[in-house]
Amino acid sequence: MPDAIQTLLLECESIFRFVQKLLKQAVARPFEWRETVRQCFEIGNRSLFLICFTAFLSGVVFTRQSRPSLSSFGAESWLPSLVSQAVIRSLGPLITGLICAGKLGSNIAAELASMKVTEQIDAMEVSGTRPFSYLVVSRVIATTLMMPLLVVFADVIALFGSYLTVHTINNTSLQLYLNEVSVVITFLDIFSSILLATFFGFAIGFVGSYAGYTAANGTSGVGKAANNAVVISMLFIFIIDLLSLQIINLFR
Amino acid sequence: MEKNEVKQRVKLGAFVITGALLLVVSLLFIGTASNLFSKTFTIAAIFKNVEGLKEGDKVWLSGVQIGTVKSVRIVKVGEVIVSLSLKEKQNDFIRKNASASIGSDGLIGNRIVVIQPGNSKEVIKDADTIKAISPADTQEIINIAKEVGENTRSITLDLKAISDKVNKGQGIIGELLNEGTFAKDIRKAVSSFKATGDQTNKAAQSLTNLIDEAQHGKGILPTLINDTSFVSVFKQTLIHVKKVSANAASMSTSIEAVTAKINTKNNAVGVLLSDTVAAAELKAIIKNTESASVKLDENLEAFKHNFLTRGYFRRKAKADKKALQKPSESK
Repeated sequence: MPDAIQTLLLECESIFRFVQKLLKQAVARPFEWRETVRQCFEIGNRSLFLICFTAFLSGVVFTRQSRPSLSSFGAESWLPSLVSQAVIRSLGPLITGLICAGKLGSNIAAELASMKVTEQIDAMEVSGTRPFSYLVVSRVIATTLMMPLLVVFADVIALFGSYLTVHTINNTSLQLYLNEVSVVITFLDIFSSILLATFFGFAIGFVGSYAGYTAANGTSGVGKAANNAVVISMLFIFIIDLLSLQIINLFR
Repeated sequence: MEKNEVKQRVKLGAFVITGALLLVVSLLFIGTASNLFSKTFTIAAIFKNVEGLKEGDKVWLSGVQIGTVKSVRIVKVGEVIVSLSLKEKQNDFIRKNASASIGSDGLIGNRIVVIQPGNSKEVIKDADTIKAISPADTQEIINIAKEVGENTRSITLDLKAISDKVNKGQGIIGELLNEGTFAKDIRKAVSSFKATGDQTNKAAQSLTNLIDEAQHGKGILPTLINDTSFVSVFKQTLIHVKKVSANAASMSTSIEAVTAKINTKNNAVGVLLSDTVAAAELKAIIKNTESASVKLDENLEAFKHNFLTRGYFRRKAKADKKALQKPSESK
């Protein structure tokens, strides 16, 4: 039992050091622009289609699922406002975060873990290319920056899917739909959604990098790192979602 | 490799710009909906109770949304200042004496502010305060209901006391309901009243009969009432009576004249009445006559008893007696 506690404490210490190093390297010069842009492309553009597709489907499904309960008391006209609030406040960031956690978290963790296991990172360190800044900082910054953009896309596409569904059911015009949405959605909703996505991105990038950077024990360590990255970043996403809800409700 | 990297960067740039554009467009949409980008002016209304109105709720004029609630502040107990931010173009329609009230929108009841435009000539300006019509306070209604309930309770208590008394036979009504003395009295009175009524009925019947008789029967009254010819007779009679009275009047004047003459001593009666010497003489004469007649009477009595004349007197007496009996027999 004391062994387990010791392991936990050591892990905490290790995480703390990692964060410290990350923040230090993030402001340190020279900044790895090319690698960061490349990672942004990998993370943003390459995830866009997946995000848009899932967001569209979830918009359609959510609209169709919530229609019966609203129409049961004759409030079907509230469908746009209900869906838009749900999507922008919670569903959009959450879907984006979970998908990115699965796709990017595992990607980052596996990539870094295999580099670590094959001692490429050590080799880089020896050659003086600052592997931490090149590998970790660029990735964490890329996820942190790209996630809000992906969430904007996800929100818009999900609302578009919702609009198409409402349009086929009720023949609602786009103008009316947008009016209904813009009446209930506030700036606070949008900004909190974007801020949330930023935290999600940081969590995904950080957890993936940490899992990959601290991988050990050969090829099995790569699988373990990828697995850990996905599970822990998903957990983080839900925890951050809940915490941010509490904080945002203070302003609402 | 270099070409590939440029391609990637271009794609990333397109991705970022598209995302940013979408964000800006959505922010613009929301801003327009909450009047953030149109010119506005602010008016205020002081309510007693806003029933859950909050910032961002709609403001309606004739059912059209013309603005939003900017702020809701309590200044003191029973005074809530509601600032309304209205679109600049709409102020032409709202007058100085406009009023605001709190309504609800839809089934579930989002609160809205409804503005009655008013009819004064002056148009409302920025930072004006308009009259507020506070909604009927639910608490007030409950208080009234409570009061009513209490009153009802005391009334029913009173009613209970009254009905208790009535049941026990106290008071007039109680006696009435419970066959007390008063009830018996009333019963008696009613039966007497009934008897009286019966009698009155009978009397009325008799009266009717009488009147009927008078109208259609015989006798003096019907003749008087019905016989029109009798009227002329009666009239004539009256004329006669009038004549008689006229005669009587002339007679009395004659009598008056006679007595006047008598009073003067120039004639025999006058002498008799007025002259005392003559009257004394006359008295003496009468006295003499009287004594003479007494003597004559005695002579006549003696004459009756005389045997020569006695038979005549007896026959005369018999004849008188017969004459008296005959009329009574004939009846």
